[in-house]
Amino acid sequence: MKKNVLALFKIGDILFWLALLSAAWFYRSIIASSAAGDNLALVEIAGEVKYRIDLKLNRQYELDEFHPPVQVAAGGGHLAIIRNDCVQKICIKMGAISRPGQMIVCVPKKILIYIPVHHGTKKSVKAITG
Amino acid sequence: MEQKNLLRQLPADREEARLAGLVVVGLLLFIFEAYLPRPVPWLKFGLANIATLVALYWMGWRAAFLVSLYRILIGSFFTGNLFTPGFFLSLGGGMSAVLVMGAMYHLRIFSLLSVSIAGALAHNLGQLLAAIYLLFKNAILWYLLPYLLLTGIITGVITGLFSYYLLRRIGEDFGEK
Repeated sequence: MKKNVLALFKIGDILFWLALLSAAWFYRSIIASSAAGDNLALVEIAGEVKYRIDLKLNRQYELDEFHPPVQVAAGGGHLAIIRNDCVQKICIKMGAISRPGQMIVCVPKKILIYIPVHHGTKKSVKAITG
Repeated sequence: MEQKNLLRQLPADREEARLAGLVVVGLLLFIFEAYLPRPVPWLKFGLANIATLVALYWMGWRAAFLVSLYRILIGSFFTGNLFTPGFFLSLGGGMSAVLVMGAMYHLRIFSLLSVSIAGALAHNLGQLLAAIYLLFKNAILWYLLPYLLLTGIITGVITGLFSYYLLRRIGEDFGEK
């Protein structure tokens, strides 16, 4: 291992950071163009929309595709997973979502709960089952 | 500390022994990290990437690829995650990191710290792509990118600094200066 291989700074680092800052700025401009969504959250399980939850209603829901069911609480424009028997419970620790683009993800059970975002025109919602 | 002693005990002329040692180090770090408290739920330090980085600078791209692949396969097997959705996320992230770090290392114009940060970012991006196109098939997940980029920079600096000091010790111990 030559010493310069382990140098803490090299000329290419400037290029790297410039590329990183450009990517961040570009992405920020895309995010900024997002308009507010409806006051609802979609629950997808394995890529299919299963539930459409009104965030204004104070209610608890059970996703009975799972045993024991995964419990979701909504109300006051917020939504959170409050019970899930998975090992790490990252989805519960992620807390509540309330803004368009925010989401809760449970990888082991392929659950994706999100508040949709509209870019200018409203997107149509997939068929709801369950 | 432990991994340093482990590496020092390996015979310097045995590529296989070095490789196996680094796989074990990667696995130990992977398990150790599982017990570490996370400041935020989606932040993983990616400490196992230290073994991959050390393998890349010490033994080359092929070794880094093997260390990463074996670590993911064996780690997933022992944690009961083999061929689960989480396994494919790990695989997507791990392979992306090795590809990006290997390419940057061979260009020789980037420092170890930049290579480490790029590896962490590639790992997160690889996981995100796997989640979007293999698991959830929903573009809304792109909204996680800013968080993943931020955590990638933090974890990349941490693993880069650990790897830097480890590689300096390896250079001293094996006379590879």
